[in-house]
Amino acid sequence: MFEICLSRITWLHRLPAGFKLLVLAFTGAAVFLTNDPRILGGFIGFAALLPLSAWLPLAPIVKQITPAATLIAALATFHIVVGDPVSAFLVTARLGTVILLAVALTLTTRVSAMVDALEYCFTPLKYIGINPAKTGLTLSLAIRFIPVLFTMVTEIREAQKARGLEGSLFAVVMPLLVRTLRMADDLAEAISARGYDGN
Amino acid sequence: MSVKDMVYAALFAALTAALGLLPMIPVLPGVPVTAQSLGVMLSGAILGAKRGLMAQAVFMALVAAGLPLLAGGRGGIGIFLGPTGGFAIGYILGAFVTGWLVERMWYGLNTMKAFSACVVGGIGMVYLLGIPWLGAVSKIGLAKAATSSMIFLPGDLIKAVLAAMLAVAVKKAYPIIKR
Repeated sequence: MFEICLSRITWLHRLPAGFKLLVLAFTGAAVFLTNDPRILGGFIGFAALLPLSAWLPLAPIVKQITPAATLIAALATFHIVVGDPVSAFLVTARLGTVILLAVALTLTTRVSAMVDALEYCFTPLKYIGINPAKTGLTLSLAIRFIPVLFTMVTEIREAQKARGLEGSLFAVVMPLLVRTLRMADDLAEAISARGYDGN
Repeated sequence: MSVKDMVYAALFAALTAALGLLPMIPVLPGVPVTAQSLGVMLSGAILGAKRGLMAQAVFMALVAAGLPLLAGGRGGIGIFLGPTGGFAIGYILGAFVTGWLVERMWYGLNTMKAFSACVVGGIGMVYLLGIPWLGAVSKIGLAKAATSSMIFLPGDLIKAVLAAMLAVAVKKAYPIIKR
């Protein structure tokens, strides 16, 4: 299955997903609560050293942070142009820390482990009527059907190309929608037929 | 949550991911636009408020879990913590509001009514959360954040037209909200 997580195991892979999420949550809150450039300098140093300490390859990190990095560079430039280099540093350090840590988490945590951790985080939602087991099944169903829908898009695009309709988004999305809805009805029947009532 | 709710939510989350594969005609040079945000409007306009919200929440949970589903093969929890995190949360609210409006106008739904629902939900709500978030996190202020987000507006308006046409066509071929 395709995912961003690296297959080579590092010490960051061995940490539990829930612990990594907690560290990210605390750091994310901390960087927005302080205005001290020295503390933020420490945070960005920590965030930069963490991927280095596990020898994570550079290419996937660069791929994941490029859009955010471009935006942060534009923001920093804006702050420098209006004559406020301290704000430029604060914004860069804050967002840089959070994004580097989040990428390190994503590159070293399997999707299945993250889904389990998220399911655990969603447990309190049962008090507003959202069943965590059903949430888990819905997430698994979506993961299972993403490759199916990807194949469907490719098939439909080829079929419409043969009809000379490759430029029309409507001609691709309309059959995609109808096939998805029919598949949903078949799938719901198949699940019910196996006795799943979800209570 | 019935089995139908779960299945529709899961499949429209997968559909939103698949729409990220479809390139759109570039409206403005240099602005990457895919059909992905069409998924927000379609989830709401075809499934209704509750299931549309669920579909986009599932999609965003999978992005947070680290599947590279956003256009350009990006994903991970960093999406929600960065300067554009508000737009990601706005997808969920956008699908709900689009669906709520379409449910109100279900009998006698036409392309114009569906278009207005897609604009209010799929564009208005997404920008309503995305722009203040961008302004606050990056400290550039609301006005600057709003003007810099306007480069996506032409592409989003085209998607709203397309989503409206699709929603009306699907209502005739395969109605889901009220049969």
